[in-house]
Amino acid sequence: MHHALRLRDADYAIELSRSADGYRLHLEDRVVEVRQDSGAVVATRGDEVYVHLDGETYHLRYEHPLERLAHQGHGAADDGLRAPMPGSLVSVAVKAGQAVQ
Amino acid sequence: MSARWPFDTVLVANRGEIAVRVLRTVQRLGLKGAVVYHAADRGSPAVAMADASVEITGATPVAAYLDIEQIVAAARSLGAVAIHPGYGFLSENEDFARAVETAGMVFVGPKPEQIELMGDKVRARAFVAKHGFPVAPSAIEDDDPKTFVARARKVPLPLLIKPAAGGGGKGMRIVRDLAVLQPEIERARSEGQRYFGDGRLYVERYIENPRHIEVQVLGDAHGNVVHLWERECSVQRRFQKIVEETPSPALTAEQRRSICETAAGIAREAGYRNAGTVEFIFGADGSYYFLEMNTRLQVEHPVTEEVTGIDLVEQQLRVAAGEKLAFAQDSVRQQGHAIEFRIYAEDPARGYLPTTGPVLKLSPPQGEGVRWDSGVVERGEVTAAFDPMIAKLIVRGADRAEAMARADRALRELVLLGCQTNTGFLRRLLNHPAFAKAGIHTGFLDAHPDIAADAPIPRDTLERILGAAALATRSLREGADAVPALHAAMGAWRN
Repeated sequence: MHHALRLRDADYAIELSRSADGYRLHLEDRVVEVRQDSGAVVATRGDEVYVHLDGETYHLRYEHPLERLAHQGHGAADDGLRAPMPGSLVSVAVKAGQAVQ
Repeated sequence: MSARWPFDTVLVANRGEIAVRVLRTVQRLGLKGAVVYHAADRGSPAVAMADASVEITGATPVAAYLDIEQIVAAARSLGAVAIHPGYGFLSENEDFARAVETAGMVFVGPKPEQIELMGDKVRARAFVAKHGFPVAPSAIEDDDPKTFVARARKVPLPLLIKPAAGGGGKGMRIVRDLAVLQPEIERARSEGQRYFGDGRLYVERYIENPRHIEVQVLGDAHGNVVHLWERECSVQRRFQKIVEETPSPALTAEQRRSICETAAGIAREAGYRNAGTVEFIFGADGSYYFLEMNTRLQVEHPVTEEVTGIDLVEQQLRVAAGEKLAFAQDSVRQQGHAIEFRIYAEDPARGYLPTTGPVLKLSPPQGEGVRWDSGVVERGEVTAAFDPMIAKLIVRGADRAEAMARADRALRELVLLGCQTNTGFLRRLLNHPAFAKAGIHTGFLDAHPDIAADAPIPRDTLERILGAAALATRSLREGADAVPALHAAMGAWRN
C-alpha cells in the first residue's frame, strides 16, 4: 500500500522505513537516508505539511492510500487491503472508483 | 495630559503591521496608544500591544475600519484626543479628517482641504502645473468633456488613460494605437465607475519603462517644509509596489537634488502639514513628471527612517501637536542604503493570487541591519478579509551591496509556515542580475515572468523535502515505527 505526498501538482509515491539509526525514504526505485538534522523546519495541520528548507518554503499534502485508491479508480499494482487474520472474502459491496466513508 | 503633549492618548484607526508600527512610537514617546479592531483582529498583535482597545463592527471587516462615526465615538469613549489613521482605510478621507476636527480632536495628518486637493488627481495635477512643476503632456476630460477624445488624440503616443479619482493602478489602460483609443476609454470609464464611483478620466503621455521615484516630505503647521530624500519603488506588480529602496540607484547627485527640491516645492506651495509623499515618473532620459501626492504615511516609510535616522511617526505626532520642525533641510542626511520587501500572502506563480491560512510557525529574521514590521504572529491566521500584505522586511547596509547581502540572508532565515507567501519570489528577484545592476523599471516583472514562476526543485532537494515531510506525517512515521529495522531491511521480498 503506497503513501503519497503531493507537491506542486505532482504525486510522489513514497514509503518510510526504519534504518539502524533513523529512517529511510523509499521514492520510486531509490532509497535514501532521511537526515533528521537536515535543517528543515516543518509544520503540519491535518494532512497539510509545510516544509522550510534552504530558504524556500514548500507546501505538501499527505494523500491517504484509500483516497488515492478511490479517486484513481484503479490503484497502483500493489495497493491493497490486508485482513488482520486469514479468511475468505465473500462479498464486496463497493465498486472501483466509489468513495468509501 | 502630559506636560509636553496636548494629547495623552492616541487612537490608531487601523490594523495589521501599521497599527503596531504607530503604537510602538506612541508608547515610546510616553503617550498611551489605543486601537479600534474588528472581531477578525481580536487576537492580533496590535490589540495585544495597545493600552486600550474598542471593538468596532461592520457589514464586512473592512467596512468597520471605514466607519467614521463609530471610530470617532470609540475615540471619545477611550478619552483619546488624537487619531492616527495609518495608511489605507480612512487615511486620505477628508470627511474623516473633518469629523475628527469637528469632534474637537486632533487628526494626525494634513488639513482636510489638502487631502481633498491631492485626492483629486486632476486638480492635483493642475495645481502642480500651475506652480511651474513638471507634469506629463496630457488631456483632461473635465477641461471640456466634448473635446476630450479629440484632445486625447493629440497627446504623443503611447498614452495612459487614468481615472480622475484613481489610485493604485485601478482602471489604468495603456494605448499604443489610436484605433483602440475609444474602446479603451470606455473600459477605463467603467472601471473608474466601479472602483471609485467616478467615471471621469484623463489621458497622459505614457513613459516607456519608467522608474517610480518618490520623495518623502514633511511639513509643519508653521509653513516649514523639508524633504527626507527619495525612494525608488520601481519593482511593481499590477501597479503595486513590492520592493522599495533608498537611495535610488538610478539618480545622479544632480537629479536627486532636483527631484527632491521639486517635491519639497510642491508641498510648500500646498502649505502642506504632515508627512507626505510626492510621486514621480522618471524616464530613461532623466526627465521626470509629477504623478501624485499621497497625504499620509506611506507603506515604505521605514527605508527613509533607516537612512535618515528620523522616526516619521514621531514627526507626524509632533507636527499634529503644533510643534515646529526641529531640524532644517541641511541636517537631513542619507546614510547607508535601505531596502524594503513587502511580504505578501500570495502565490506569485499563480498570477499573484492571494492566499490564506493559519500561521503555524513564524520565525522572523534577526541580526544587524534587519527590521521586521509585522502584523502577524504565530498561531494567528491570514484571512481574505484584508489586504494580503502581512509584513515588511527592511534591511539596511553601508551600501547597496551590503543591504542586498543582508536581505538575501534575512529572506532565507524567514520561516513562515501555514500560509504561502512571496518570500521565494523575493529572493529570486533580489538575485536577478538586473536587480543587482539596478536595471529595474515598472514593467520589469512583466518582462521577466520567470521570476514569478516556481523555481525547479533539484532531485536531492526534493528527496530532502519529501523526507522531512514524511517524518512529520503521523501515519507514515507510525507505519515505519511498527516495523523493526531488521524486517524493514529485508524489504518487500519477505511477503
